[in-house]
Formats: sequence, C-alpha cells, structure tokens
Amino acid sequence: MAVDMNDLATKVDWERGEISADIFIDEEVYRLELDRLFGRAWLFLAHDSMIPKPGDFLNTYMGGDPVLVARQRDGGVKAYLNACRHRGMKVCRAEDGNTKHFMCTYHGWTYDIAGNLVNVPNENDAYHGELDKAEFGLKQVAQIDTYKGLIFATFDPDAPPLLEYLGDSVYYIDAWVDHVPGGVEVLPGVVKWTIHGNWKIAAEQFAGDGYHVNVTHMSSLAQISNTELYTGPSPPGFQFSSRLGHGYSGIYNQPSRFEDGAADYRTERMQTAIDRLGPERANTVGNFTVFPNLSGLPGQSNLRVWHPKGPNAFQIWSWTLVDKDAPDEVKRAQMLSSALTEGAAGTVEVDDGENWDLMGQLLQDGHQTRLLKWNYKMGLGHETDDHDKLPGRINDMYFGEGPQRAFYRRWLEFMTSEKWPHCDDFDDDWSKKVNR
Amino acid sequence: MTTQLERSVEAVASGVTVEVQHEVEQFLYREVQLLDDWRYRDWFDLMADDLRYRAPIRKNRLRRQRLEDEVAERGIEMPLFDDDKESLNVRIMQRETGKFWAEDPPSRTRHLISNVRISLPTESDGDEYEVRSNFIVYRNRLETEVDLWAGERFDLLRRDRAGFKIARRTVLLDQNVVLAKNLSVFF
Repeated sequence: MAVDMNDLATKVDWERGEISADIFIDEEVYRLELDRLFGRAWLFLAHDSMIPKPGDFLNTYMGGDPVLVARQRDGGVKAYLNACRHRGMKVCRAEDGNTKHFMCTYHGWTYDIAGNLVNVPNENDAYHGELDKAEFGLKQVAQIDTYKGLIFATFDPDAPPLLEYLGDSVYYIDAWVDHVPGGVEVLPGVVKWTIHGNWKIAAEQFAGDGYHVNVTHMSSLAQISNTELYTGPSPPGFQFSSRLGHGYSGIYNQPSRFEDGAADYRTERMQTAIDRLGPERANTVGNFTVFPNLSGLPGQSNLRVWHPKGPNAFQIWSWTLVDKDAPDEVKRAQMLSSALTEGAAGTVEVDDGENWDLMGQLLQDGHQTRLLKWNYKMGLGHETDDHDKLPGRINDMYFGEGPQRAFYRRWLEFMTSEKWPHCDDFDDDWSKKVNR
Repeated sequence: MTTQLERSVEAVASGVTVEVQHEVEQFLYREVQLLDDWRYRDWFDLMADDLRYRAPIRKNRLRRQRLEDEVAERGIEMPLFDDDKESLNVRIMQRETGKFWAEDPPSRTRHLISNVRISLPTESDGDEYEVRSNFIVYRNRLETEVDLWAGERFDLLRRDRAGFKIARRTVLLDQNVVLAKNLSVFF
C-alpha cells in the first residue's frame, strides 16, 4: 500500500506544531524516505582528513546503501555504491584502508579506485571478449562536492549544487569548520552504536532540542558543568531554522562544558574565532543538524551521522573534530573529554540512548501510541525571519522547537514531491545581511 | 619493544604459581560481583590511583592492513571509553545522583570471567601481574531488553595489603558496531 500524500501532510502539521507518531515507525514511510529523501538529498560522507592520501578509502552509507568513498590520484574524491555490477555483492568489506583496487570475492570482478571495472576473470573465453567493461563500473553517486573539507554526495542528478543546498546554514557551519585559519581534522576512530528507534528523533533533537538537556542529562551535564546553565531557565542563546530544513541551536558565552586541560587554548581560540566570524556565532556551544542526517555539537568537538537501518533502527557514527593546528595535548584533551561525555559509553549520551530506544519500543508494539500526535509547539509564533544579525528564522533563546518544525516542513516537501523540491520562497540573498 | 600481547604469550611458561593463579581468579570473581550487586563505589575503590581504564574501538580492516594488536595505542585515537581515576569517579558519581535515568531502574548484569592467564611484567619487582581474562557480560534491562557482550580484559593488577588494585584495564569488546543503545555498564 503506497503512502497517501494527503494523509502524510495531515500527519505532519508543522504549521500547528503537531506531528503524528506514525511517521516514526511506518514501513511504507520509511521505504519512501529511502527513495525520495535519502535518494535525493546531499548526504555527508566524510571529512577530507579521513582519506588524505591517494588510494585511501572508507566505507559508509547513503541512506540504506553502502557507499565507498575514495581519494583519487589527482586529489579528488569519488564515491560509488559498494555493490558489484555482476551480482551485487559487496566489493569491499573493510571499513577503511588504502588500496589500488577492489576485487569482488564472489567472481573476481575488479574495480580501480575510480570505480572503473578493470578486470573480469575469463573475459576472453567465457565472455568471448564481448563484455563492454566501460559500461559496468561501480555505480557512481550523481554528484559529489566538498564544503571546507566536508564531503557530501547525492544520488540525484537534478539536485542543486551543494552550496545552494546548504544555503544559509553555511553561516553557522563556518563556526565549527572555519573558526581557525588552519581548519579542522577528524581524529581516527569512529564510535558506532545502535539505537532501536527512528533516525528522525535523533536528527530533530540535534537540530533544536536544548529543552531536554536539563532533564535527560540531569546526572551528567548538571553535575559536571556549570550547574546554573543546565538547571535554570532557558540559557541565553538562539535558535536558527533554515527554510531548507537545517537547524542550529547555540548557547552564548560558554566556550566549553568541561575543564578538559585545554582551557588556555580554548580561550585563545575563542578570540581568533570572534575576530574571524564575529561574536554572534563564534562564542557559542550548541547543537545542529544539516538536513537530513548530519549532526554535531559545536564547541564539544563532536560530529555524527544518523544512518537509518529500517523504520525502527539506526546507527550513530560519531567522530571527534579538532583544530588541525592545535597542539597534541589539546587534541588529546578533546579526545578524553569526548570519550567521557559522547559516544556509546558517554556519560551524557547514554541517557539519549535510553530515550530513543524506549520511544521506539512503544511504537513497535503499540497501536494507540502510533495514533498520538506529538507536540512541537514550543516557541510557535515567537520567531523572526528578519533578525538584525543572524540569517534564517531566529528564535531569540536556546529553548524552542522552530528547528524541528523547519526540519519536518522540509521533510514533507521531499516526501510529497515527484521531483526535487525547490524552495521558491527561500531568500538566496541571505548573506547580504550578515557581516562576512 | 614487545607488545603486551607478545609478552603475555611468552609468559605462559614463566612459572606463575598455583597459589597466585588462585588468588588472582578469586579477586576477579569478587570484583565483578561488586558490579553485579550494583556496588559501584566499592568496585571503584579497587582502582589504583594511576588507573587507566580504556576500551579501544575494534576495526574491520583488510587482513594485510589489520592491526596485529588492537590493545596497543596508536597516537590520539577515539576509544569507546578512556578513563583515569578522576573521570571514572565522574561515572560513579553519575550513578549516585539518583537522576541517572539510563540506569534507573538499574540494569541486571551478570559478568562471567574465564580463561585467566597471568604473567609477570618484565619490569616488575614482583608485586604486579599482567592478567588476561575473557568475559561475557549479560545485561537484561526493564522488561525485555537483552544485551550480550563478549570480550577480553588486559589488566595490570598490583598487590596491596588488602589484595590487589587494578592499575590498568584495557577492554577488547568483540563488536565493531556496538550492538546496544548504550554502554551504561562497566566491564
């Protein structure tokens, strides 16, 4: 049974802030997401620093599909399905490494790092020399591009260019990739773990849910950090909602949650960042989602992707992002701080897992629970599209649900549109209003 | 420099007495009983002041590029956890807040420890033992949640008046993608 588009629009009433729980569990909705959302959107693959040398590769996913990302000899990057063109077997089972080619271990079809089919066993006898190898390279993504070291790709040839897709969110992305002259790099080691819940719960939380912090993380943040910020009223900050579905929520004047041995460096870096970017976005910590499934915690060095694994399962792949030119002791301090707080065993993150997994269980077994409309009304009507400094729709405090409403508005457009859903009402001139 | 793994293999024939073997095994059994009995502060008190408690991430790599020894550290790399005594204390304090929702109600755990192999570190003056053991940790949580973790622990135990202190523990969890919503238990 196909998804009824009118029904879906009823279930996702972002204007009134009411979203049906059904979209977080329905199998048909999920299959449509793989096609219309993950099959079209620009998805984060890797950071340049993860594959620095020619032949370096890593395995990741775009939606449900395994994708190899490989550094080419000319310094460029290619990404293609990790599935052999002969019988669809995985051509590489390592999560990363360096190689000259990938040989499928089923029948031996072999591809170079550009994805070209370069060797087929028994090509001359069994195939009578008639196989056109040029036609059977690994299936390439439709478009691949980078923004300041962040590599994205899309399966949709009709998707607009990456920069246009990111839109006004680049103003905020710059706050965590371009705050120091030397740029950032990703530490080796991906923390991967599994939630039996829907990926959107995590993506929307990182876009805009600062509200949960005081309660969910009462045993960690409130204990370890500046307790006034995490137990009282909404901390001074802001929320950004992009018409394009991205979200960012920041708290001002809180350079780090933790004493992590890098305090002097952080203080110095903050001044550099303010000089480069201005105080509005530099002097914050917070959380963001680049639509649909790239998220992170600027100020806490964390970057992650929510990989969907079915309507009621996803994996978190989490990295630690550090300033490339920072001294090793600072990088080590950030590693230790991240390991203590984030990841499968992180004191903060273990409580998120408890929430997301139990919500999934309720929807899995229930019927009445699926009929519920969840409440996304916080801050409704208290946002402005005409902030004097910040681009996008702005809520003038850290608590609110504007980014979530923007996320589901865009999600609905992707899901209900036959073609790439262009935003005719998006203000392309957003950058004119900010001091860059 | 030989790795910890190689030293342990060499040391199998190095003459650890039956008495020491017995002492160490009994210590390990009592230690995990504290975890299974939810006596986290008592468990913490078994840690030496210079504790390092770490779990590296397990990798899927091609055979020719795989790590011979996944216990060893290689530069600054993300672990599953990497605690000294101070940060481990933060984790214990979290449990004592009464607001640690991920463990409230607490998970039921059962730690099974086996294959205990003891060796004397080459630089030791006789009061330290390198101990490798295998574990299975079963977690059952709330109504029907089950997690099952297998792996190996590489410990450095240091003798003190009351028995032993744990000066180092490296946990090799036999999973690449952690197949659980969190690791809110100790290993």
